[in-house]
Amino acid sequence: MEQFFQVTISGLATGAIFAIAAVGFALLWQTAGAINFAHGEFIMLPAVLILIFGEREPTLGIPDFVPLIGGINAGFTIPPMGMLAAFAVTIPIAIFLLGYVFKVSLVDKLLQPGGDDIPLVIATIGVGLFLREYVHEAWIATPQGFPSVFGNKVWNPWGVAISVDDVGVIVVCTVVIISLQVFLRRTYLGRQMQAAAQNAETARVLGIPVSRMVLYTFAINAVLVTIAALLVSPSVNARWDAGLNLGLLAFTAAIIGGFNQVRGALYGGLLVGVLQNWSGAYISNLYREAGPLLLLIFVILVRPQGLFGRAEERRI
Amino acid sequence: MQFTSDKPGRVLIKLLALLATFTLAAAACGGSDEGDGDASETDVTNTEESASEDTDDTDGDEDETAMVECPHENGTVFLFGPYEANQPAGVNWRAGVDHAIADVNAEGGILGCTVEIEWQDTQADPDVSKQVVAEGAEKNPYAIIGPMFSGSTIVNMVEAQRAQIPQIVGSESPAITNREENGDNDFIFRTSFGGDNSAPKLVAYMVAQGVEKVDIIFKNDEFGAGGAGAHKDAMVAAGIEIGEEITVQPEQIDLSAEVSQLSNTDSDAVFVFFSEIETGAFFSEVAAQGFDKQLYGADPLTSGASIELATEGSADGAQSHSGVNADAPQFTEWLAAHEAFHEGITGIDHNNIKGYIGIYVLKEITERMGSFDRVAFPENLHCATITVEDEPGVLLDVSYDANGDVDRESFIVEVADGVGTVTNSVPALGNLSERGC
Amino acid sequence: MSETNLATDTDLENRKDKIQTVDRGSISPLLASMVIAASAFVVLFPIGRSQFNASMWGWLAVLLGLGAANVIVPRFTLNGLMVKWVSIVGFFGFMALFPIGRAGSTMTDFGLFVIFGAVVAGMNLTQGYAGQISLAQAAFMGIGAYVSVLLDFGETISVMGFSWELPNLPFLLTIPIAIMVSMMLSVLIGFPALRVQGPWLAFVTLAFNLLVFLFLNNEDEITRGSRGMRVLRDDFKVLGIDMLSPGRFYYVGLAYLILALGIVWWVVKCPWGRALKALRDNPGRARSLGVDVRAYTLLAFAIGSGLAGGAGALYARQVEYIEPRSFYINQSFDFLLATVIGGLGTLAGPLIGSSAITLLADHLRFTGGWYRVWFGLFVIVMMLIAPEGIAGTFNRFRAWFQARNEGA
Repeated sequence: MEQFFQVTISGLATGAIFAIAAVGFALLWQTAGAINFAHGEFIMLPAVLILIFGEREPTLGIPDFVPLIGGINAGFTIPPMGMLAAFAVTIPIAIFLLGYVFKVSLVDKLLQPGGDDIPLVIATIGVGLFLREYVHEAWIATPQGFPSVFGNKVWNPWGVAISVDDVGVIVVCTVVIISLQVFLRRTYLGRQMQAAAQNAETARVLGIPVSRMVLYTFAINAVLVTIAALLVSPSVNARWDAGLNLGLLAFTAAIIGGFNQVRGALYGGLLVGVLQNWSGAYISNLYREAGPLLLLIFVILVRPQGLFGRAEERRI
Repeated sequence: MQFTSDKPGRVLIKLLALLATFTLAAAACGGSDEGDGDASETDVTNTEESASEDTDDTDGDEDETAMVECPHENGTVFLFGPYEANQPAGVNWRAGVDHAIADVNAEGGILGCTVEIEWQDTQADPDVSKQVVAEGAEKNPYAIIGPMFSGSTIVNMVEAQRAQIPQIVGSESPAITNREENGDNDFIFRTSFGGDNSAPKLVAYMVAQGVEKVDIIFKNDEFGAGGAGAHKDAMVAAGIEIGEEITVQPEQIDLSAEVSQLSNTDSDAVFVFFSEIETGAFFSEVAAQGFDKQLYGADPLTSGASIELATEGSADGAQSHSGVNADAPQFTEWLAAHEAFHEGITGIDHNNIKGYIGIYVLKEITERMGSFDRVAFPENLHCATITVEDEPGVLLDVSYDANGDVDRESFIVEVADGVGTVTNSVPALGNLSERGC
Repeated sequence: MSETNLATDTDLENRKDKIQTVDRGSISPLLASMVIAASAFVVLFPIGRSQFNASMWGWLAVLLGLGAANVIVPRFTLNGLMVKWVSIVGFFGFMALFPIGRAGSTMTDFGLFVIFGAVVAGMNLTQGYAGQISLAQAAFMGIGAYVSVLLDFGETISVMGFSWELPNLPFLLTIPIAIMVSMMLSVLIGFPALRVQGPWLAFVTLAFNLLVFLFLNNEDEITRGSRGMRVLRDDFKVLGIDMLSPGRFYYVGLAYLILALGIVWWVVKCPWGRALKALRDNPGRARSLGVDVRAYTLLAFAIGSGLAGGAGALYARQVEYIEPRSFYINQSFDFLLATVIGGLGTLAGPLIGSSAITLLADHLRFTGGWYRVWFGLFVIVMMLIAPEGIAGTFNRFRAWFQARNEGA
């Protein structure tokens, strides 16, 4: 029985992180129609940045990208600044790169209204590849330990080992999701964003600057993935290929839960986290990812809008 | 479909030009072997040498200092080095080999010939490594030094075997020297124990410590499954009872369920066979759950990389068996020399030592043969013993069996205060007669 | 064969912009072609320079001559047809004559090139004609590889207590079996994924690839798990010919590539192909005309996956070793990369794409892993300026050039 609690609680913690990642993914899909296959790498990149700023001494410059041309070394190093400060520094970087640059250079150019989303999907796969290999070559060739911001203490109520980290993660994720919901529902800006997501044409007519709303969505997504990065990396280590697995689980969570509702992504995330741990513990720990993946295929078969999602009308 | 063609004359001329160039090209083609001077400009320690067509037979001459015709141009002997440039294990291996080559050349080279090596990155990818070794074999090296990773070696050693080039590797998977599994390969040689030969040593130590029942946890890949299997066989042979056997996915970090399961068994100890990533996570989980059984394992269990990935203090008390360990007193002098040679090097581990020893084994056996005969090399190294008096460069007395495996003194390492320290040494098994000699 | 359709304006409103049918117009074909030609030159020049010899001039002349002829001569004329067929025959003739006098390691490289070319040709069908992204090509290749090897070895496998002795089949027979197994599995996962419009196949295939990997890695009893299986060519004969030399086995791969390209071409040309094109251009309209959209999409996906399965059987003998890692998601991404770089809807596309991930990658290995960073960047840039791929851009350039000439 203790094992059950153990497994479920750490599953909820992992699931909470997946929920945050899935919500970001779902938001992009909903508001901009952008299916971002690089979402996993969007989590991996902030994680690596936080680690580098927090624990390592980065030398600013550009690595030797192209042989014969050589890299640029700005010549000064930044001393390590601790994880929380690094987190604070990474947030604006993420908003800029993963929000603004991503939107303006790719999404705007490739997503034509009424058009086909395949070029964007392929471009995001390219982005994912680029980020993965860049981090691999320039920064992190082997997995690196990532300290938890909550510390490593473990409590043992009733013989169940619950780590402070797990509890911290659940609390932070709850706060974030609730804040997001409050923001979207109760603030003017949030309601504008919702309007822009639901029906861009009408929103434009009503005077809502849709493009800017979409930009804000991208910025929110950037913040969400940075938070997810900070919380998930102690468990999976900072590694260049973390994105493959994380991305897949984020998509799975979003689709299972229902990607056209923030709430759906949230529940999907929790479900995926817990299901993964249960598969690992009770079926076979070699097939721990199989549980969520099979559920994904099943959900797409019977209810593609997700377990908690709204059915979408098909646009011919 | 329309059949209009405007300016037919122009088109016709173009087609004739086309046919003409085809004929030209067809004449130029055929028989030219242009494909493979894939000269890689990088990663070469000494001046890069593309091997000449000369093969290896030279006049036999017993005296080491006599002039022997060197197998490659300009009085050199050329080696090919596939290695994993993006992995610490590969980088360390190369560091050891480079240092050894420099030392060997300073002493006059092998049979008077300067040693040169061409390094090529296999990217730790077995497919790539096969291609790399295939290309390298065509350059006619005297020997192939590397790679490090078992997964790559298993794939590419067939290329060395077909070209009849001795291959000296740092890999530890048992399958590499298992004649049934490696296609009866004469040309493969290790520089440290394979899992199946280190197991009896660790097991003997465990028995001496009074261990009676052991759970095994390992990662599900070539390295983990091979090593765990070998140790399990050795334990059974020594009379130790096996409890649970748990497999873990490679790179699996969330080990809470597995550790929970292990803490509920009645065994005395747990045998752990992971790589560094899983080991780090395992230590953290073990400390978090207040687990108190003795942990035994192989090199990764007590390596610096694993300890770094684990929470502080969680690794203390783990004991491992190490084929060579940079902290052992026997290597202190060498360690100082190595750090001097590679200024600023960090993370020295057993892989550096393996690389270093490999070159000296090559040198000693070649000098015993008195010639650079690739094909005769295996039978000269099989069942041979090299002592430190014969050749100080091998650092410890070593014997080779008929399959390319080593027998040598080894070490027990225990983690104390977050650092792995050598606490015991385990003598060589001395069982060459059971291993084909 | 290219299927360029210069779209008329009236159709633009109704059609979904699929990649290879409509001029995207975001950048002129001339500029796109120049960017691609320039980057190709930058990449290939240092490689070519290190291996330069006199016959290179001959080849360069041939290439330029062929290229010029293809661009200048209007396609749909008798002359155009001749140019096209001369190009095709010339190319495959070159491929057939190439191994003469080549070193073994070069042929190992080319062997992989033709095998991956077949895989990418299959993806071409799924993506180019069914408009769906499949991220499981590597998984199907793996399934084909393991099926073929297990049937070839004829060992006994035990599943959950049942022992089953596999028949020992000749290699050539295992290929169609591998193809069929892949096709059946692809229908199984494609059916739910393609029921509804949308990008579902991409996700389902991604999940499927991971599931296949888990299965291959964990089921030691059947697949020897992560230890992999050695499949040496030492005693290997095809049609009685000994296949130890990589140069000889290359011909098997080449034959399979020609077969794969032939199948794709045939599917496109025959009435099924018309239906596929119709559904790609406007699924709604196609449905209203009675075309069973789902069936045809599923068919394209199944054939594409089947081709990958057969290629897997060859891959196993080519590399002489199979392990689950070779068939992981990153390999599927590589195939997607190749498809996109090469271009959809053409015969040259798979060849260009496959050469990028095999031959070119091999020559660029000296950069460490940086060439993969460039690949990622290249894909992004290509989607922005030349989403039809290199071959597609070539076609666009030709269309533009000839339209310019016609208009004069």
